Amino acid sequence: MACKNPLLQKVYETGFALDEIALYLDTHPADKQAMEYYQYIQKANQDAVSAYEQSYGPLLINQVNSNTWTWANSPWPWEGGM
Amino acid sequence: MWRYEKRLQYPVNISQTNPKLAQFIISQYGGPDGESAASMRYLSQRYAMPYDKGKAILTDIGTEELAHWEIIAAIVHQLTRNLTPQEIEESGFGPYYIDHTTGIWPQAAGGIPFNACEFQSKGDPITDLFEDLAAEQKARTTYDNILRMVKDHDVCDPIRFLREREIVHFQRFGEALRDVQDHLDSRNFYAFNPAFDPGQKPCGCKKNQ
Ligand SMILES: [Fe+2]
Repeated sequence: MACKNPLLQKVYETGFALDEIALYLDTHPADKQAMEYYQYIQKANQDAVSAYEQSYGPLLINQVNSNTWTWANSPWPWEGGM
Repeated sequence: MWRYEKRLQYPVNISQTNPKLAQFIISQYGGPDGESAASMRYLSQRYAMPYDKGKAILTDIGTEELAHWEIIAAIVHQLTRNLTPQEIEESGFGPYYIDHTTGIWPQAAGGIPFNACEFQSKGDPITDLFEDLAAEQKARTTYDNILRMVKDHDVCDPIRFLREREIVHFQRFGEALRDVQDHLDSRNFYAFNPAFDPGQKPCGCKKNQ
């Protein structure tokens, strides 16, 4: 499913790929190809998260990069529109 | 420890409320094969797991299940927004509403409260992993049952995602079980409990001379 915000869509896609490859690596730690994919998607996810955070505020509590407490701003994930 | 990432693992954007459906789906929040039981099952079982692959997979699937628990709550929350008393009465949502209004509370579809007896942490990795494999299948069956009742694409879509994850988790637990068995006696995988009596049978009695 596509979400309306393309920056957030990238966070969902790369975040999911990261979750999936991490579980695979847990039981296949010696798979070199999987490890390379992890490194590729790790970078893609970091880029997607920072691009989103720059426009819409922090996804992680240690990424509040302003002088005001933007962490508490709506929308919260369960409210929809994200 | 855990840190919150301020998004769902998979987006939930439901435009049409449906309290009747919410009452079915809440079973995956607090029911016997729900996401809370899944998360607590795996995270609690970690401490008796002697092997690294198993420790990692229990931690990471247990963590993902917390994210699924949140997705279910988001679905139920969005299905029950701005209800009128008339809608509540006609949909059969009344009994839940009387006790919880439209707050989220862990119960099964039939109203039974969440209970830790719904999962096992037996302190034996073979026992626990078989439990986990069954748990993933039971959750998948529940999602299949839910999907037969859902017509709204906004609801189907995240439920289908959750169903797919049960299949992946089943596969990963199968691999973890194989890894545990690789550490054991191939003539009798169940000869002893590797978490409690490593390398020997659990009997304390001495052989007659
Ligand atoms: Fe699962």
